[in-house]
Amino acid sequence: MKRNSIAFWAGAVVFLAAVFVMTQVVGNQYPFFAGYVILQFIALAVAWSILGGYAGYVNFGTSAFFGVGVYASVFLVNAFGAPLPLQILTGAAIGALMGFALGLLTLRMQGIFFSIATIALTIIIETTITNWRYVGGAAGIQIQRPAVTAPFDNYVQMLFFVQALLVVLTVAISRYIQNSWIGRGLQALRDDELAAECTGVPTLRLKLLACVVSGALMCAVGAPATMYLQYADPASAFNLNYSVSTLAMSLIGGTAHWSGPIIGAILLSTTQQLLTVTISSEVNVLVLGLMLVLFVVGAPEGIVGLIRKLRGTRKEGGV
Amino acid sequence: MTLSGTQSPLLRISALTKRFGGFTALHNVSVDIRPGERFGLIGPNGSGKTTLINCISGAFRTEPGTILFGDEVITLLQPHVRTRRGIARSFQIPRPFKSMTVAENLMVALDFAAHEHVSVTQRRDTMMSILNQMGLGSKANVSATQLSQVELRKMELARAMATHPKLLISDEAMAGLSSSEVDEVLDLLLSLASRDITIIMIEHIMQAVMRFSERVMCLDAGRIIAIGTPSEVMSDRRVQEAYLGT
Repeated sequence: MKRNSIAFWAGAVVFLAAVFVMTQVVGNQYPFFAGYVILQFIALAVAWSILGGYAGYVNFGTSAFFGVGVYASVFLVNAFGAPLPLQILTGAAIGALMGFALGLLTLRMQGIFFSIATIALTIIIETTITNWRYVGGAAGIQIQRPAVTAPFDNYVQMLFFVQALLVVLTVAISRYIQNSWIGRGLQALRDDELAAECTGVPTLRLKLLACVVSGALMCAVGAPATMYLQYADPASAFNLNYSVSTLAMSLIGGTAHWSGPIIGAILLSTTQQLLTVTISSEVNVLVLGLMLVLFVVGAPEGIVGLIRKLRGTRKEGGV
Repeated sequence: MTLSGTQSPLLRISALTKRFGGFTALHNVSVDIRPGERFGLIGPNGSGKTTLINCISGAFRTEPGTILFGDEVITLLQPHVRTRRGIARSFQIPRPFKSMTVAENLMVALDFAAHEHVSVTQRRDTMMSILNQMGLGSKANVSATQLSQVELRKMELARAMATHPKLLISDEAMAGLSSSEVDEVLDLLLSLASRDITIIMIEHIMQAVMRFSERVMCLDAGRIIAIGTPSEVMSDRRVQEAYLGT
């Protein structure tokens, strides 16, 4: 194993161990409530970046995938009382199929047309769920949490740990894609699709793959949210805010490297959590917008791009 | 316009027509290219040269017409499949992968189009050897956006070479270059041709076409108006009329 990979997996183990210890030591429940949301956005932003960042296909359908993950859980719990791991796996499978279908239908479109199609997807699915009474319809549905599994003594603590696992899984997949031939192919097609095809890159197949993986991960991340909130309604589950926040986090962090969306998600979702608690939930939307504008103007390649640029400048200055 | 003799062609284009709405860009074009041939493609602006290249490389679908590459009909194959079969091209306006270095540009080709399954180390060695042949060895880790015009042209040819082509299509690789740079690129193309790579060269610079080509074809308004040795084509009255408008 290469040195970078050893460092990455060591970091992942330390992170999971720290999260686990936190669930065993910290008594106050608020850090877990807030931390769950931050982890959820890290996983969403990283998953989004596989298609939106590496391939450059700006997907506004994060809320569609997230919402389908939520409602896959609602259905499974309602129908079979399915356990959490099954909810997540089913969410991932449905997300993969949805990504495949979305990809087949829309990936021949480019730029703004693809983005509009993904918004349309959100609206179509939300409308369908709103009219499906079995999963609560427009009024929403209450979900009872089952008993918590040992060694956790609180369900939210367990969800916090599960979400940390999903973060590690998502980041590991994203990192693998970036460093492999898949990432190079996606980067090539993002730069120039015709040139990529004429260099041997199967562009449609790679875009489909990115769409499937990204969709599966976003749905999987949505699945535990049902148990986290103990309630689901279409307006919240398919809220466009998920799409906008995820996109903003990835762009602010930088999409050229797998770590960019993590940095962006930590920065933005932590700020949002702090503002929600200290001022109001409305102000955090304003701050999100302002930060996005600032970064688009000042650092269009995000924080990662800015750091690379500064390093490059320093190197040049040094020589 | 097809070959005489027994040698089977590497590329056979039969009755190819390409329309854009009501405009016919190529009209019933048929031509054979021999293996290892240096083939010049000329014609005034808008005559259909790049359209023909786009049809061969798969960027455009043709209707009707057939393209045979070796023994295989490739008319309906996607561009990346044609590249893997051995058709590589450069672009009239260079299209580098801008977010990558020169080395990474070539690695894309080696990752996706190389025929043999070789290790990453071997691929890197191949990449460096191609870059050195093209005189770009020192630029391997430079961003593609920082290359000069002639370097960009060379990088496009290097990237095309990294796909291990049997047929290389060079689309005005010398446009906008100084005379010494034209000679540099021409020498590169001649050295590639000496390695049994069939080359179709689209060019406006007549000295280069004359020096390079074994056969030349001239298109005008989507039709073949002359094909033969460079001197035959240059002395053809219709070619002179197409270029000079007399």
